Parts: sequence; C-alpha cells; structure tokens
Amino acid sequence: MQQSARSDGDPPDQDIVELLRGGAMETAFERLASRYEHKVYRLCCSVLRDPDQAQDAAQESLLRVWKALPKYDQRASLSTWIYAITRNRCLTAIERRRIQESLSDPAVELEVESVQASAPERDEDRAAILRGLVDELPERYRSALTLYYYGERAVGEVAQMLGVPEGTIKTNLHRARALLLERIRALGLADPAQWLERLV
Amino acid sequence: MNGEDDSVSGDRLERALDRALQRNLVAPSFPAGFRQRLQAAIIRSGERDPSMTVAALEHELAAQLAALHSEYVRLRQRTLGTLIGVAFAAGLLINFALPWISAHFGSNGVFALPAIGVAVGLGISARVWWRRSALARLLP
Repeated sequence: MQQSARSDGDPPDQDIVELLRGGAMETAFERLASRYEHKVYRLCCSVLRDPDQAQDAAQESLLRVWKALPKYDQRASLSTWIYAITRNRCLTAIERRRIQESLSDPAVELEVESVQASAPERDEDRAAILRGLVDELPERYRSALTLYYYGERAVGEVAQMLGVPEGTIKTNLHRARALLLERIRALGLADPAQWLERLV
Repeated sequence: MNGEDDSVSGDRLERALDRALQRNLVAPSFPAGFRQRLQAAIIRSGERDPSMTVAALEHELAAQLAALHSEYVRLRQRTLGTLIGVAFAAGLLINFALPWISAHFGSNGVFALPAIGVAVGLGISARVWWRRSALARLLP
C-alpha cells in the first residue's frame, strides 16, 4: 500500500504557517485553498455521497477555515485542522438532511434489489452493483474505501482525513474488501473474478 | 492441493476486486467555478466580524512588537561588540604609541595626549549611549 509521502525534511504546509505568522492571511488562504480544495471536496463526497451537497459542504468548510484562520494556534497540523472542520461540516449536513428526509429511500432500495435479482450482464449493471455493494458497507469501511480509491491510494492521507490512526484505516480497508468479496460470492456468480475483471 | 487452489483463486479474486474498485470508485469531478463561488461566499459573509478583526489586529501587533524587540536586542549586541572592539584597539594603540609620545613630547605628553583622547572617546560614547537609551525608552 502506498503511504503518504513527504518531499523533504520540512513539515508540510510550513510555507502557509509562515505566512500566517507574518499576518498575510489572504495569501495564506489562497495557498491553502489551492492545496486543499480538491481534498476537502473528496472528503465531503465520501461522507455525504452526494456531489451537490458535497460542494456546499466543501464551500462552507473552507469559509469556516477562512473565518477561523486568525485563531489557528498550530496545536494540530494545518491539514488535521482543516479536515476536522470539514468533518464537522459534513456531520452538520448529515444531521440537517436527516431532519429533512426520511432515513430510507424505498425507490433506491427497490432499484438495487431489481438490479441484483436480474442476471447482471451489462457493464453498467455490473458497475452499478459494485457501487451498490460499496454503498451498503458499514460507514467506517465505506468511507475508508472510497477515500482510498478517490485519492492517490495513500493510507496516511485517508487516516488524516478521517481523523483516525493509519492502522485503523488498514484494518477497515481489509475488512471492507473481505465483506465485498463475501457479498460478491453471495451473488451466485459462476466466476466472480471474471465478473469483476469485465467491469469497465 | 485443494487449499492451494483456493488460495490462488482467492488472490486472483482480490486482485480483480482491487482493479474493479480502482476503475469504478472514481471521485466526482471537481465542480467548475468552485473557487469563484467560495470567494463570493467570503465576500457575502460580511468581511469579518469584529472579534475576527480584533484577533487579526492583535496578531499583527504581536508580530510587530516581536520584530522590534529582536531589533533592539541586535542593537545592544552590536553596541557591546563595538565597545569591546574599540577598547581593544585603544589598548593596542597605546601600547605602540606610548614609547613614541614619550620620545617626542617628554614625560608630560605621556599623560596629556592619552587623557585628551580618553576625554574625546568618552564624550562620543556618552552621546551614542544617550541617543540609544532614548530610542530604547520608546519601547514598551
């Protein structure tokens, strides 16, 4: 597994921290946004599973980062701090959504069931089944798995994004794959490996 | 033998799953115009509230005071260095000059000329010290 890499001996984001120390808030934020906006958006996509909501949550997260920037005290690394703010925004968004919607969506469940019941021959069907199986994983496995494959498959970075130790991410990835394999086998396919290899 | 077959097919399945996930779990594309919307949201958020402004100003003031303090320390170190250097040079000069003065100006010259030099040096030092002390008093 690929680990998160550091290019040199400097702590990451030292340039941004120096700018903050010098009081250059706007330049620091510009640099921070360029470096983290994609990652923040990916984290929001992984947690919220909805690109539109993820976009709103990512924007709110970075807005909150901007407002809190003068109070950043360097007790945690900048990335840890940004991801913590993002996770909080995502949790708020989930809570808001939970209030607005009912917990289950019967239409989506029916769709998944109908796809599973028929023989999955078309590539789109197979891909939909795989994504459906991923969506049905327990949240901690699903978020670790999606962030791992959304990004550069770096365990360290996923751990930082989710605020858990690297060992936990490795365990969750292993269990997520094991659960997926178990559920793929349960589909009753003649050759599950070939079925997976034919996925586009 | 059967166990080995299971292991091989298990490995193949795991590799196939990894490849399938790589191909199918792709992050949604980053929304176009995200940064512009973020900038607009920042502007809409009404600049900063007063507590943010106070925090930013306090941060700026602390940075300026730290810079002033480090400059003050550097100045004191330079002054001390200069004094030591001048004292050493004066000692060296006297060591070589005294025999020459006594030869040309007699025994009184040995005391009179260095005394004039010391008086001039003290005057200059006092002036410099006074100016720098006045500068130092401006600091908190």
